[in-house]
Amino acid sequence: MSALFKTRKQSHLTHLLKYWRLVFNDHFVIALFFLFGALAYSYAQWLPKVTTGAVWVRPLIVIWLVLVSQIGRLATLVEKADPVVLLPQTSQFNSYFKQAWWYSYWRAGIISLAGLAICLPLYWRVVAYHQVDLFYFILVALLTKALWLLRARQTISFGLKKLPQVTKIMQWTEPMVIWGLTIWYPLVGLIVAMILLGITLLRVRQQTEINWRLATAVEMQRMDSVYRFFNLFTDVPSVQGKVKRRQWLSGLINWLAKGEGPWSYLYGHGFVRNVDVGNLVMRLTLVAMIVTYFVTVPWLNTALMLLFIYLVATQLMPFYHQYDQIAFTHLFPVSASEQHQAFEKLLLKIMICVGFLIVIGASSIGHGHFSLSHQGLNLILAMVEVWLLNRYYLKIRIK
Amino acid sequence: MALKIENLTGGYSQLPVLHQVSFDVPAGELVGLIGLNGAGKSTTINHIIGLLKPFSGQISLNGVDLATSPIKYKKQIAYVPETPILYPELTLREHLELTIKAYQLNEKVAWERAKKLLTTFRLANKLDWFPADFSKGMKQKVMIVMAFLTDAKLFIVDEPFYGLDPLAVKDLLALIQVRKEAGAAILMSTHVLDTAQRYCDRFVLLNDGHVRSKGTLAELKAQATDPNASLDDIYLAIARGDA
Repeated sequence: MSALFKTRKQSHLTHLLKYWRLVFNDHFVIALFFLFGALAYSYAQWLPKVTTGAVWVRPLIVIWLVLVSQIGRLATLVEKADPVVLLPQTSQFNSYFKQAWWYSYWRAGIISLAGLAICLPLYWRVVAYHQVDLFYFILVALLTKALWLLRARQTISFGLKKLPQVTKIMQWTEPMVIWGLTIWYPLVGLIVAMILLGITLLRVRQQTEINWRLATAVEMQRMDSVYRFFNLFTDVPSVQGKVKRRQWLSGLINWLAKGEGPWSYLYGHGFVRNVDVGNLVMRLTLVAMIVTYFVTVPWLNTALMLLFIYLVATQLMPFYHQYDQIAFTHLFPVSASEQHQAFEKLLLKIMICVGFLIVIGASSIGHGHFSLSHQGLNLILAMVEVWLLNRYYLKIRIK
Repeated sequence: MALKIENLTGGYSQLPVLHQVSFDVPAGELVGLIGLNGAGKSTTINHIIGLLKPFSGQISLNGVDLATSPIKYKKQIAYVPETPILYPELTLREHLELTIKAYQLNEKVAWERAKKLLTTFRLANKLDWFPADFSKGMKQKVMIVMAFLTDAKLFIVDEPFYGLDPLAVKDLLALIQVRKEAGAAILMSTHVLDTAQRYCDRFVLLNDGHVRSKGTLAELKAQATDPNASLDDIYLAIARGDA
C-alpha cells in the first residue's frame, strides 16, 4: 500500500510540474512578483510606524495565524475507482493514508512557518523579544497544523460520531483557541496545543476505517480547486468553465449585452455567467482594492493601481476567443468587425467599472487622509490606461 | 437554382481533400450527400457554411457568392451540425433569442414558430435549462430548433440519424418535408443509406474527395450495372472501386 502511495505521489507531482511550468511562463506571474515585492517593501516601510503600545496588533496576528493554519489541505490522492478496485484491501489502507498525511503535513508545515515568519516582526514591535518565545511559536505552528490535518483525516473516517461539519468548525475554533492563548501566553498555548493534539491522535487511531464516498468526493474537490488555479494561466482540459445563472446580476447582463448584434448578447451573458472569467475579474479587483488601500507610498500606490488594471484587462482578453470552437458562431450573418466592436465595448464597460473600484481602493493615500489631488491623478491615469488598453493593446492581443 | 457548387477544390491545410467537386441543390429538393467516413462530406459542408476557404472553385446560393458577399450568403443558410455544441452560458431560451438577433428575425413571428418547434421536440418546458443539463440528443434537438427557426433558403443537416431518438428522426423528416414544400433547398449528409434512399430526391455520391456519381435514384440505377440495385449496392460498388 505504501508503494501505491509512492507511485501516485510521483505521477501527481509530474502532473503538477507540467502545469507549474506553464504558470511560470506567464507574464502574469512576473507581475505577481512585482506585487509581492511592493507589498514586502511597504510592509517594511510601515513597521517602524507601529507604536509599541498598539493594542490591535495581537488580535490581528491571531486572525492572520488562524487564516494561515487553514492553508494546506489533506492530499489523499485517492481516485474514484479506488473504492471498487481496492475494496478487498481496505484494511491495509491505513498505511496508505498515514503516508498521505505525512506528505500533506510537511508541505503545509512549511506554509505555516512562512506565515509565522511574516507576522513575527510585527509581534516584536509590541512585545519584547525572547528567544524562547520563538521556539514556542515554531512548535505551536507545527502542532496546530498537525491537529488541523488530523481533523481532516477524521472527516473521512467512518467512526466519526459527529457530522463532518462539526469537524470543519473544530478546524477553525481549535487554531483560534491555541493562537489566542499563545500570542499572550506562549507556554500555555503550547501546552494546550499538545493536549488537544494528543486527544485527537488517540481518537483518530480508533477510527481508521475510511468513508470512501466522502474521501473521493473531498479529494476530487481538492484537485478541482488546484485545476481551477492552473486554469487561470492555461487551459486545463478537466476544467470546463462552470456556469452559474446569477439571476441577481441580470441587470448587469442587460447592460453589458445591450446592442443590436448577436455578439454583444453572447459576450454579455458569457462574461457574467462564466464562473472562471467572471470570478477572476471580481477577485482580482477585490485584491487590487485591498492591496492599493494598504500601500500608502504615493508613487507605489499609483504604480500598483496601474499594474492591477493592466492585469485585469490581460486576464479578460482571451475571452475574445471563447466561442471560436462553436460552429454556430461562424454562421452569424454579420460582418467580422462586429465581433471586434462588441468585445471592445464589453471590455471598455468592464474596465471602466474595475478602474473606478481600484481608484476607490487606492484612496488611502496620506495615511487615511484623503488627498484630492492624488485621487484625481489616479482617476485620470486609470481612465487613460483603460482607454489605451482598449484602443491599442486589445488589437495586439487578439490577433 | 438554390445552391451551386462549381469545381470546388479545398481542404484544411495545403493538402486538398476535395477535388473538383461540383453539384447543385435545387430549391424544393432534399439532396443526400452520401459517403463513407473520410469521403469528404464534412469538408464539403464546412466549405458550404464558410468555415473553410476554397483553394479554387465557386460556391453560390441563389446567385449570391459566398466569397464576395458572405453576409448576404450566410443570411440564407441554416446548419444542424453532427456534433451539437451549444453556448454553455446561455439557456435554451437565450439560444433562441441569439438566433433571432443573429438572423434579425421578427421576434413575434419567430417565437410563435419556436413554440411549435419546441412542442414537437418536447423541449417546451426546458426553456430555462443550460446546455450542461441536456443529453446529447436534446442538444441536437436544440440545434434543429435553432436552424428551423430561421427563414433560411438552404438547410444543411449533417448526419442527423445518430443521437436522435426514432420519434425525433421522424419529426425532423416531417419538418424537412414542410420546408421543402415551401421552397427551401435541403442538403443532408449521411451514411444511413436506406433512410436516405427513402427520403432524398437526389443524391451526390462522394468518395475520396471526388463526386463519383449524382442524380435521382433512377438516374443512378441507370448508370449502375445492375438496374435493380439499391442505393446501398450502388454506393458500395463505388466505394470498393468496382464502378
